[in-house]
Amino acid sequence: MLQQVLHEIEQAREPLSLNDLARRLEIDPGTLDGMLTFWVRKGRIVVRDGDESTCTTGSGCGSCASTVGCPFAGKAPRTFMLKGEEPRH
Amino acid sequence: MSISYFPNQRADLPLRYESPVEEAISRLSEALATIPTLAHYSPRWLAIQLLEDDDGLAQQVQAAPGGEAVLHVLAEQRDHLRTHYNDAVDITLTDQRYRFVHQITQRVLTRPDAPDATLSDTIDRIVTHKYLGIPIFLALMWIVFKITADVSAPMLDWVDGVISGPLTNWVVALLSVAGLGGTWVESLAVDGVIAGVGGVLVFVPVLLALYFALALLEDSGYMARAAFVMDRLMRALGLHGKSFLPMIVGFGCNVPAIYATRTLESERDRILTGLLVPFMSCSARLPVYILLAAIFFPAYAGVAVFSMYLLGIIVAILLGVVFKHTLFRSKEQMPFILELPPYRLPTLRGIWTQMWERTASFVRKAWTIILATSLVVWLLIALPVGGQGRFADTELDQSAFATVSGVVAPIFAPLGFGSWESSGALVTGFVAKEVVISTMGQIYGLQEAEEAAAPTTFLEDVSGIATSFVSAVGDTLKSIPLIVGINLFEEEEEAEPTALMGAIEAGFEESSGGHGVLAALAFMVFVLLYTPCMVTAAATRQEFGNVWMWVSIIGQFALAWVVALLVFQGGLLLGLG
Amino acid sequence: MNSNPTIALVGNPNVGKSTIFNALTGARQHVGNWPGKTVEKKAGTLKLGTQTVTVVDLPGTYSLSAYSLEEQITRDFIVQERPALVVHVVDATNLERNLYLTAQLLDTGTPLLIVLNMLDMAHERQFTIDAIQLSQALDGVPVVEMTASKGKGFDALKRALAGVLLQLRETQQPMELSA
Repeated sequence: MLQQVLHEIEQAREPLSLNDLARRLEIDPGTLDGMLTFWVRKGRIVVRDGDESTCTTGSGCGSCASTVGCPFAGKAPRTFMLKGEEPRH
Repeated sequence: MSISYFPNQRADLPLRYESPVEEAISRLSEALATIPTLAHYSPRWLAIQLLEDDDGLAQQVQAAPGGEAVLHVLAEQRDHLRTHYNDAVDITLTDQRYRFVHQITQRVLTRPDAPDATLSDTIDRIVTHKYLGIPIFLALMWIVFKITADVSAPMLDWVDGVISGPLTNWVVALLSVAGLGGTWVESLAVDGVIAGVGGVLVFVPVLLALYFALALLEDSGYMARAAFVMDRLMRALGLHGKSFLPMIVGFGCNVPAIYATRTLESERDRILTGLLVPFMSCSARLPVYILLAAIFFPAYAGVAVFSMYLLGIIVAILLGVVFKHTLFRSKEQMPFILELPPYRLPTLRGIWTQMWERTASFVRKAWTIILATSLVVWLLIALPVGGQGRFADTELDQSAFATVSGVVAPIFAPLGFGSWESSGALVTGFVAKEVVISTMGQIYGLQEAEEAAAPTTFLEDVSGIATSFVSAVGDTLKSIPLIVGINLFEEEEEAEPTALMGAIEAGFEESSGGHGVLAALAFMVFVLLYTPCMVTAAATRQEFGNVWMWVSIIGQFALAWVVALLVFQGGLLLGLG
Repeated sequence: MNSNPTIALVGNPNVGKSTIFNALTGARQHVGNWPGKTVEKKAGTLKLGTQTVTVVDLPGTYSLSAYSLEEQITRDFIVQERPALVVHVVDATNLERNLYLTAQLLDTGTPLLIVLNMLDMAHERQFTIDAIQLSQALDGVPVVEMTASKGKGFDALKRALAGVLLQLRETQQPMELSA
């Protein structure tokens, strides 16, 4: 089951929602989440949590005067992707 | 509620793995059982953990007397399992655990026949549909701008009326009581602060309407779907998916959108997205569109505004494709899995909080950056260059501002807005897009025929404000059915254009040789595409470095110039406007 | 030495574990931190007839793999402190994912009791869970059905706890280890 999850993501031609993938694999979305977490721990998948998209500077963007809670920053949904791309820095 | 309990069936090994694994576990447990210092652990559990590569426990075993021998058995068994399953041992064990759980679930859980058919799934199937997804996104956006333009228009008129009418009169009256009437102080208050900051604050109703619509889309969970649908399009075009989320943030404000590119993995994709984000029309640009659309396309304001946003998206996508095949060539993008948040009914409280916070930040900006810029502009307007003008009493054309702006004006001449007035507004607009409005208010406000308004008393003013507010609210309510194209009411007679609007119209007509509509459209396009604001440029530098900031600024300017040129000259060629 | 038996509450995050803990222990709780950790430790006492039982609310976790602090605390408590009974609170609307933790708990060999919680929501979604089959599939682990948020099932839970503890005392007395 675990390998199928990885395989299905590798084969995907376009972005999928977690529910789409669960439906394709005929597994429960909650369980799929757990399986993806396993692959994240194994280092095969990277997960990005939405928190990074918030305005994190102290410079203040006029509208974003403080470091926390820029009213325009949205929380990005969690995304999982296969590892193997160039590193971030 | 009951207890299900079969005490007699309790076996020693409740969860059994496949026999090769069980065999390895029992070999290892036997070996572990010989070590007294590990006796406080269940040998079976310890064996499983060791097979699953638990470093901490392996170290404990190694440290124990006789541990080396156990680790030898472990290595042997792990090798054996790895060969047998052709996979890492921890993957094998985890997988078997999932299978075990899956089997149990299938046995004990009965779900309705179509477990997928929840409302959320049904909605998702439509709004993230392969072909319907994008039209739905565009349709919703169109509704957002229709709401914004139509519903806010009456309120806009009201606030404008209050600020330019009674409020200005009161300030003038107060100043003359203080003996400052007709001095530079009055000019500073009226032509600097009220025309500049007031001119921007006039748009608070517009932004309230925009933020309301955006909050509705965000809180319901739709925005994440929109990003998903657009990502799929971007990926189909060979671009990195996942970049649309920063772009959607960009509709609110470009600055957090630049920072939001951090969600992308590769440096390349982050820079590329960072270069595209500024083409997402932020809420500060909306007042410019609204003002010009109200002057030049009063009947199609919603369409005009929507077209600007759409153009921004199209430019971003096209440019992205061009970049992808030139500057930012990179290997095939990895697909990704996105967790879409569940839909929920937006709460009044949530929407209110968002509207309030965003509008508050807009107002705060008006009193800080925009006030500061307005004062500088006022000073430059007040300063005479040559001529016989005195400070704060100089012919506009001979002011320092007109002189400086006049130098850059020829650049914009082919675009139809080569007057010093609009050039000046674009130059100061580099600070922030609201400044385009405040500067126009300051310049054209002064050009307004100084028509002597009939003197009114304070009480007349107050009652005037109140009655016009009531009628504005009425007009707002009446405009709501119009959004969906139903006109329940007789066509309102066109609102009387204000003197300011008249002055702007005349200015564009003059600079374009009688093609004011085309020039205004080109001007809107230019405002859409050139550098959104200083802070966005600063954010770009912070995230991507000095070089990319200049690439971004110069590139945006060049692109804005070319596209505006195409709009104006192309329109002339086609005989439009 | 405290001779009261200890019951540990285990479960995924947001399955109603705290509600059950609060209802069982009432005001008899003390809240502190796990030794050397920033994670909150909640313990309390529960009277089952004449017997006093210590209840420990372990941090919410999806697995026992010891990657995160929560997982480590939960795992160490179960395998080192060896509570008399581990009560695994399961979200009935997300059975499969929750049962993965059950499988890992079974690996530890700890005496286990399963609370099938949030049944009202499961029923709302027209899920039916055969608790008898579940107990059988897990080789006889007792399963208690509850809707803790509505106060349903606590009597059954207390009865089950008393019964299991009694039985464990009878069968495991000779094997008890000296600490």
